[in-house]
Amino acid sequence: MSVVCFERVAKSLPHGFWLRRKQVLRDVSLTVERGEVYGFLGPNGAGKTTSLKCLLGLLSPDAGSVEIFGRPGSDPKARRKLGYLPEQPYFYPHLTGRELVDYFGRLFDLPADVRRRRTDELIELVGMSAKASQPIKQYSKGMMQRIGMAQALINDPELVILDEPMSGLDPIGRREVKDIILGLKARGTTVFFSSHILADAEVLCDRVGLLFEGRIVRESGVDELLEGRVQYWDATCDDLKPDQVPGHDCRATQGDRLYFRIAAADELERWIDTVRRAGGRVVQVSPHRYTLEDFFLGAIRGDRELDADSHLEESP
Amino acid sequence: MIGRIAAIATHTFKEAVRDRILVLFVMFAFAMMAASTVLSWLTVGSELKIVTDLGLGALALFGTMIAIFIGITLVHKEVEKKTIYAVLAKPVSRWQFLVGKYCGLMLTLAVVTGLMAVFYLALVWWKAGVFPAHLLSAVLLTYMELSIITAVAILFSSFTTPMLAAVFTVAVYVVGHLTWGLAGFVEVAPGAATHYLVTVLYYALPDLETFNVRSRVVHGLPVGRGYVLDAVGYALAYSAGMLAIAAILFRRRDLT
Repeated sequence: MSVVCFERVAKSLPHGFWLRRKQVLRDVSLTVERGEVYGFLGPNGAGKTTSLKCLLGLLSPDAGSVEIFGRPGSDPKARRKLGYLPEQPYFYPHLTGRELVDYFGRLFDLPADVRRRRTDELIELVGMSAKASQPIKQYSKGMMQRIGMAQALINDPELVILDEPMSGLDPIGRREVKDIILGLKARGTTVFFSSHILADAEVLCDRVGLLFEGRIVRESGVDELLEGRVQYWDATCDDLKPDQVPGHDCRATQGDRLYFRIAAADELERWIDTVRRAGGRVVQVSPHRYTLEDFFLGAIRGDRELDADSHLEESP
Repeated sequence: MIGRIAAIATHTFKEAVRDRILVLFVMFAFAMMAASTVLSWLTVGSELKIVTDLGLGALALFGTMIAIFIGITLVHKEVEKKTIYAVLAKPVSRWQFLVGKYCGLMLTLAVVTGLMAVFYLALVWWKAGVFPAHLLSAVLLTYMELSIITAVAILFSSFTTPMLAAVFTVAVYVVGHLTWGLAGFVEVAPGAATHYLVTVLYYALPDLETFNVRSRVVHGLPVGRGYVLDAVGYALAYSAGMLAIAAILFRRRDLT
């Protein structure tokens, strides 16, 4: 059974003064399996937050269905084993950080002693021990994000949904959130997070879904996505002169050291042979893979081209 | 389920009492009650009546103001400030959220009305020389009226903006005190359609005059236990009805 399942979800929302309905989600289908970290990626305005709100029952889809643990997202029972960090979390300014986490624990019907223990643990985990007794109105954005992370984990969830968990954090904060996500993954918790920062997803995710203009344009494993997608190799050798390695693109020299840019796999084989035969020493060969960013841009461009094609086909 | 509603209620209470506006309202109520003693010097022979009447009036007025002022923003503020997302992402139904909010405000009003009542009763006690036990039922009935006003405010707050909710709730409050006029109009309404409409309005609008026993207690007339129990039952049933409608309207609402 999938932990999260979107089936052809469509949603329009009222927009502007006349409340005209704008189609935000056109066709979102995806599944998240138990124990995986799923990156829900897309540019701003693609519909990530709207999708998550449909999942949590905050919005009801116009078409299609959303399920968590096999139950509709609008069913409170579906949310028992779920932790959620909203985008740019807004919490009650009059509560202290500790009171907030405790309050959300009460909404899970956790007994007082469990709540106290979990609250202490989580406040420690997100590095907020020193500030937990301050009212939230005095918190910075990063502190709000941290306390938001703590409240999302209060019920020891099996599924954690994080909406832009890294936004507004400094590099140290991002590192810590990444560590928390990796910690959850190690414990077998399913993590479903949205982000427009692809580098984070590359490090954390097992699988990604790319959302663009309300549609999933690609869904696949990160490895699969990047596998074999080496753009070029940077190759370095010692003890040779450029003319001893003919037919290759030597980009720089430094004493006896030569730097090459190799475009294809078979060229790389030939280059290694040539260097060895000439009595040189291969120092380094490093592949430059497509990053998720390159892939993402490619996918969006592909989608646009597809759209353009279909328009052409439609027109007489 | 009860635990969740209680959690939301205590949180709503905490939020209300940490708001300075509430303290301001209570201070004003105290000031108005105290001023009634000054005013009573202007009259001869009916000083006690003035203090009793104005004090109870102040209690009802400020109670109503707090119920409307906080009630209309209760749901809207959570949606507007997006604090509701994290709450409804927990295993909390929307009706539980509404009922929790309602109970929280009723708890706040109990404390505030209680404080005002202590001040008021002490004042009357001091003026009269004996403890005015007969005023307790009047205070209780005022609180029951607040329970209906709060439910109406939450009903409007669950689907419209605070501004409109305030207008609607005040309208219901004013008309609610005039429904006895509607009863007479039912008799003389011309045409079946008008008759039907007026009858529906008569039963749909709360009869808030039921809770106004001021003229009776001021003149020392007793309020029967049966009357009080009936009024309490009516307030509970009416509030439950309002909350049920609010829950139905709020259930399918998109929280954008």
